[in-house]
Amino acid sequence: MSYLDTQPMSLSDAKYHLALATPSPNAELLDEMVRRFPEHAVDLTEFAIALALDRLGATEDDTAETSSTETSSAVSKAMSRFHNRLYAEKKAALSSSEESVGNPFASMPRSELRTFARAINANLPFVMKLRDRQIREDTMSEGFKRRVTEALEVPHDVVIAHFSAPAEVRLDARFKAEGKPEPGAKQTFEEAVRGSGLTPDQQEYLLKL
Amino acid sequence: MDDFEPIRESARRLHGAAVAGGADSSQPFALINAAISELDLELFWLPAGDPALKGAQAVFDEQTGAICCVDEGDDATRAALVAHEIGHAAVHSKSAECSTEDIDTSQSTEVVPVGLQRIEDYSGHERRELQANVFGREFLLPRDIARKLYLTEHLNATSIASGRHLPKNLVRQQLLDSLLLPSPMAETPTTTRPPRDDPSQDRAAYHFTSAFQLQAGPGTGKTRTLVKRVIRLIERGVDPASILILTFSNRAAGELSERIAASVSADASQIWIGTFHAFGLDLVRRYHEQLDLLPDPPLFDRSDAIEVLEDILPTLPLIHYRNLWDPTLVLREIVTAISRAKDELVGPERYAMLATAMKDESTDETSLIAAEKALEVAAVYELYEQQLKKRKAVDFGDLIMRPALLLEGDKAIQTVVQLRHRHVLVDEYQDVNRASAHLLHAVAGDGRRLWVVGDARQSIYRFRGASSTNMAAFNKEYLNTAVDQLETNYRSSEEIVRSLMAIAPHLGASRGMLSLSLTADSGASGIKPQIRRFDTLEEEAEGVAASVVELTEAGIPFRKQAVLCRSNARLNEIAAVLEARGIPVLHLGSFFEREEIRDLLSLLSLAIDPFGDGLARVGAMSRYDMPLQDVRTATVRMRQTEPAAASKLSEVLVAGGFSHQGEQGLQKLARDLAGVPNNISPWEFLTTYLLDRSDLIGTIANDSTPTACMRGVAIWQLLNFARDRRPSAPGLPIRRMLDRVRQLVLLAEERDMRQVPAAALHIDAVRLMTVHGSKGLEFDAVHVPGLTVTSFPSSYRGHRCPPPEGMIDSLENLSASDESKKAHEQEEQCLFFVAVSRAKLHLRLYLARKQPSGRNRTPSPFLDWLSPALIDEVRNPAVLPLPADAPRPEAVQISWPNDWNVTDNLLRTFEKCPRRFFYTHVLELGGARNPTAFSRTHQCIYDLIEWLAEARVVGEPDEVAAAEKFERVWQEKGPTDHAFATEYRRLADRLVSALVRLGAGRRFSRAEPLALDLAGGRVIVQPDEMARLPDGTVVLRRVRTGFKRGDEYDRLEYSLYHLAARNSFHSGYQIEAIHLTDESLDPVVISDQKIHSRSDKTSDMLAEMSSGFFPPDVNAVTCPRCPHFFICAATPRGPLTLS
Repeated sequence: MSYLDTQPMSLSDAKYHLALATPSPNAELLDEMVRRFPEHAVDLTEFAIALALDRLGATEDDTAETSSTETSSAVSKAMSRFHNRLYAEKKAALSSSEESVGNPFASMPRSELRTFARAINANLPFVMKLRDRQIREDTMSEGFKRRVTEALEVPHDVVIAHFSAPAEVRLDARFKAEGKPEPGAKQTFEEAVRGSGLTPDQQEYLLKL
Repeated sequence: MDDFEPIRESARRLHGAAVAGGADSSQPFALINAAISELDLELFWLPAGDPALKGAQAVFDEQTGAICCVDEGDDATRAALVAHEIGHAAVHSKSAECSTEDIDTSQSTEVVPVGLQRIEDYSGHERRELQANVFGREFLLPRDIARKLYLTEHLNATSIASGRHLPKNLVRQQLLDSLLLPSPMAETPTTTRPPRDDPSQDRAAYHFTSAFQLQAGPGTGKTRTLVKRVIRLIERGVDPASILILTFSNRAAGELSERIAASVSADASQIWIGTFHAFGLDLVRRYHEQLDLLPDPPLFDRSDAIEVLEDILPTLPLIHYRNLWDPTLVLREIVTAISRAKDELVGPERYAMLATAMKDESTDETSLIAAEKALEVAAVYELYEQQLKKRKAVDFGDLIMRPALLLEGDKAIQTVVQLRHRHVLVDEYQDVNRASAHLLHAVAGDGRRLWVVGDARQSIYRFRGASSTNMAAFNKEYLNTAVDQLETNYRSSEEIVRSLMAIAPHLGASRGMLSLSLTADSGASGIKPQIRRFDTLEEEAEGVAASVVELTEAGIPFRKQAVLCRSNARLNEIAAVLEARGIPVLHLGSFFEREEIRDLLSLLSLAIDPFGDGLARVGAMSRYDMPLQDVRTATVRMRQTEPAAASKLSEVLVAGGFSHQGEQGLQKLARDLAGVPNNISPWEFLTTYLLDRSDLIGTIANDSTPTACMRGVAIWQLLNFARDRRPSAPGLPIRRMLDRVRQLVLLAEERDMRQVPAAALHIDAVRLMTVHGSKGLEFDAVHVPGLTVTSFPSSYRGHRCPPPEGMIDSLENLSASDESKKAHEQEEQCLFFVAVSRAKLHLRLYLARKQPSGRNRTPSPFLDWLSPALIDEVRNPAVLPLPADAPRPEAVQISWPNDWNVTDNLLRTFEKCPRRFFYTHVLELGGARNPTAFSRTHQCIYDLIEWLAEARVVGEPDEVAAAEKFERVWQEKGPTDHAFATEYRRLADRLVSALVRLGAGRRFSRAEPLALDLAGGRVIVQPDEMARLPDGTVVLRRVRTGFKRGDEYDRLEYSLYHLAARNSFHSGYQIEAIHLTDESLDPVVISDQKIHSRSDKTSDMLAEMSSGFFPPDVNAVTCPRCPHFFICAATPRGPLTLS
C-alpha cells in the first residue's frame, strides 16, 4: 500500500498531488488519482495534461532564453508555433478542469424529475432546460426561483448558483473523439416558457410566478 | 447470429406488444404511442433550434425519459424520427442527441469494405445510431410483415410505404433485408463446457510493471486473454478512457468491442478500440493544424492517387516507367511503392537520397537501371506529395507515418497523447511494420503500460512491411520486457496440434520466438490429417468435391467445412466445380463478375448509355428473354439517336421488325424503366427497379437454395455499395458508380467485397476463402488444395518498382530484392501454418501431379515437414465427376453475310478475346467511353497517320505540312481544355515529327487491302502504309504510337503482313514496323517456322469463329477496361443472321 492509499483525499488534494509531481505528472500518478476519483477522470486527465504542458512550456522557455542570441528566424517561428499550440492545449485543458458547480438535478431519478415537473406545472423539456442551465437566471422571476427551491427542497443559494453557472453539457451525452458538443446560448425565461411545448395554461402560470 | 438480430428481436417484441394492446400495426403513431407508454417515456415536439434539442433533430433524455423531436416534416418522417429515439431508449438506455445524419432510415448494417471504408468501420457512436436505425425500422415494419406484404400480398415498396404511412427508403431497406438476407438461424444451445482455468492466460492478463509480449499460438484464446487483460485493468481502477486497443482489421476491432462490452461492468464505449489506421486518422484530425491539414482532411485511396498522377502524367519525369497510353497500371505500381516507402517512414527526400546512392554505387547496366528506376519513383513521390499538400489531403500511408513523425518530433503533443492513452494494448502484434511500430512507440513511451499479443508464425501481411522480426525485436524496442506464451490449444485435435508443432520449427518466422509448445485441450480424435493426390487440376477439384460430400455424409455439415486456396482464381474454379455438382458454397467470388451483379450493372448502364449495349445482357435475363436477333436490331437502332437507352426503348419498338417474343421483352423492359430518371443515385434507381417494378427479388426470396441465397446476398452487398456516399463529384451518380466499379476491379481494390456479410454466415454451405481470408476463423474440416511447388508456396514474382537499397532493414544484410524474396518465402510458410491451424478435426491436403502439358508437378516442400507418422496418404482418392445432365456452354448459331471478311484487325481482336470480338464485331456493340486527355491525343495522332498515308500517295508532305494539318485536327479533337494541354501537345508534336521523318526516302502508294487464303478461310490484311524502295521492293509498314515490346514481332499481325505480302509480292517485299514513341523503324524479320505456326493458329481461330464459340478471355487488366465489361459473357438465346 502506498502513502497515497493511506491518506484520505479530496478532489482538490488529488489535483494538488498532481501539481506537486516533478518534473510533471506521469501516467502512474494520474492513474492513481483517477482510481481515487473515477467520477472526475476527465477533469483530472485534463488537469494533468495542462500541468504537463505548463512544465514543458517552462522548460522550453528556459531553453529559448539561453540560446536567444543565436536563434535563427526559422527556429523562432517554430518556437512561436510551439507556444501557440501549448497555449491552445492548455486553454482547452484548463477550461474543462474548472470545478463544476453542483447540479441539484444531477442525481434525481426519473420519477422525482417528473414529480418536480408537475410541482412547478411544467413539462419535461422545460425541466431539461433548467437542469442543463439553458435559461438565463437574471430573466427568471423571484417567484419562479422560489418555487423551484421549494420543489427541489434544496437551499435557495444552491438553486441560484446552479442557474447562474454556464450552460452544461451533460457528460453522458455522447461525443466523437475529443470534440465535445458546445453548450448553446441560453434562452430568456420567457423564451423558454413560450418555446418548450408548454400548454397555454402552463405558460400563463409560469410567467405569473 | 448477426449482431443486430437481438436488436431486431427486441423491436419486434415491442411492436408485438403494441399490437397486442390494440394498436393498429399499419399506423406508426398508434405503435409509437403504445411504445412510449410501455417504456415510460414522454414525447414532445419542439421548434427547430430549441435549446432542448441541443442542435439535434431529436433527443432522447434518459434521466427524464423525454423524447424531444423537431416539429418538422411529414408524418412518415416524424414516425421514423421517434422510432429511432425509442431505439435508443430500448437498446442503449443512455441519452442520445441525433443529427440528421444519424437518423438514416435506410442505413445498412454493413459498410462495404472498399477504398476508404476499409479504414473506418462504423465508430462507436455511429454503431449506436445504426442500432437505433435498425431498431426503428424493425419496430415500425417488422421484417416478417414486410416480407409477407411483398411476397404474399404482392404489394411493392411504394404501396407499402403509402399504405403504412412510412418513409419509402425505410420500407425499401426493410424489404431488402427481409428478402435478400437469409432468415436468421435459431440459436441452438451449445454444449461447450465453461472455460477452465488457464494459468498461461492468467499470467498474461495479470502482468504489470513492464512491457509485455504474449506469443499466442493458434487457437490458444488470444482474444479471450486480451479481454481478460482489459477486465483486469478495469478491476484495478484504470479509467476506461485511458485504454487504447489497436488492431489491424475492422473485423477484429468490432469483435473486441462486442466482447469487451459484454464482459466489463464499466462503460466500455469509452475504451478506444480500432485499427492503427483509424487511430492515425483520429490523431490527424486532432492535430490537423500542426499537420497543416483541414479538420477533416480528404482521404486519398489508391484510385484517387492514380487519378491525380494521371492528370499530371506529362510532367512526370518517367523513362523506364513511361507508358503514356496506358498509365494506370504503371502508376498503380508506383503508388504501391510510395505506400511501401511510407510504411518504412521514408519520405520523398530520403527515397531520392537512397536512389541516388544506388546510382553512385552502380557497377553495371542492371544496377544502373535499377537506380534510375528508383530515382523515377522518387521524383513521382515528390510530385505526388506536392499534390497531396496542395489539396491538404492524406493517403493511407500518411495515416500512420504523419502522426508517428508528429509525435516523435513534438514533445507537447506526445505528452498529451501519452497522458490520454495510458494503457496501450495491441492485437496481432506480428503485423506491425516500421511505421506502426514507431507510432506505437511514440504513444506507449517507455512501454511500462504496453501489452501486446501476436503470433509471428501467423505473419501473413509481408507486402505491407509487416515482419516477424518486429515481433522478435520487441525486447530491443522496450526495456525490461517480459515475453510469455499461451500453452493450450482449444481449437484442434491433438493430431492437428502435433502437425503444427512439426511445422513450426521449419518456419523462418519462428526465429527469435519462443519455441512452440502446445497442448490440445480436446485430446486425440483418432483422425489424422490426410493427403490426397490426383493427376490433373480438374481431378483435384473433383476430389475436393468428393471429399466434402464424404465428410458431410459422416456428419460434418457443409457450413462447418472450408476450402482454403492460395489464390482467388483457383478458388473461383473450385467454387464452380462444387456448384456444378450441387454442393452449396458460401462464396461471393469475384464480386463484379457475378451474373446477378452484372445484370444490375448492365441495367444501370441502360440509364446513361445512349448505345444501349447493356441490352445484350438485360435482354438475356429471364424476365425479358429477348432473342439475340431482336437484341441486335434494337441496339443497332439505338445507336442512331442521342438520349440514354432506357428513355428510348418504346421509340425503338415503334419501328417494328421484332419477333413477338422480342417485342414483349422490350415492352416489359420499357415499362420497368419508364419514368425512372437517370440523374438519381444508383441505389434509388436499383431499389425502384427491384422493389417497385420487377419480380427479380421475389424470385430469389422464394428460392431457399444456398445458390439463390448467395445471389440475394450479393445483390444486398451491391446495394450497400450503391449507397456509398463519397464526396460528390461531377457527372451522373450512376455513371460515377459504373466508372468506380471498373477502377476498383482494375486496381484489385474490390477484393474485400468477397467477404460474406455476417447475416449470411449461417447458411449451410461450404465456406470458400483464400488462406489470407481465413485468418482468425476455424472449421471442423479444412480442405487445402494446390499443394504443389508453384501454387503453395506461390511463385515469387518480384516487384515492378522495387524499393531502393537501404530502405528496408535487413538483418542478414541482404539486397532489397533478396530481402523481398525472403519475406515472400516466409509469408508462404506462415500461410501454410495458418491454413493447417484452421482445422479443428479434419485436415485434408490435395495436389495435382501433372501439368496440362503432361509434365510432372513438384509437390509442395511443405509436405515434407509432415512425417508419415503425422499424416495419412489416401490411396486412389475418390472424385466426383460432373453429372451427365449438367448444363454446358452452347454455341451461337450465326449466319454470316456473303461479304463478311475477316481482317487482320478483326483477328487481332479475336485473338485477344473471342467474346470481345463477338460483342464488338458480330453484335456491333461498343458503348460510349469517357475520353481521357491521352485517348484524345491518341485519336488525333491516328487521324494524322491516316491523313499522312493518303497525302503521301499524291505528294511528299513535310513536317511543316504535317504540323499544319495536325494543328487543325488538334483544335477539333485534342484535349485543348486540359490543364496540361501544352504537355500533351508537345508529346504529340514529337510523335508527328517522328512519323514524317521515318517516311523519308520512301515512295508511297495507296495501301490496298491484301487477300490471304488460308485453310480456315480468307483473311484481308490492311497495311497502315505501303511504299516502294528505289529497287522496287514493296514495303508494308505498320505504324504504332507506343514503344516496341520485347516480344513485339511474335504478334500475329506481323506474321499476317508477311503471309499476305508473300502471297501478293512473292519475295520482293519487306515489312517495316514503326514505333513513334521510340522513334524507331525496324525491318520485321520472322522465321518461316513461326510464320507457319501463326498461319495454323489463324486457321484455328477462323474455324472457332465459324462454329459460334466465343469464350471470354478473362484478364484482370484488360477486362475492366473493356467496353463490354458489364455485359460479359451473357448471350441472349437463339440464332443470329447478319446482314
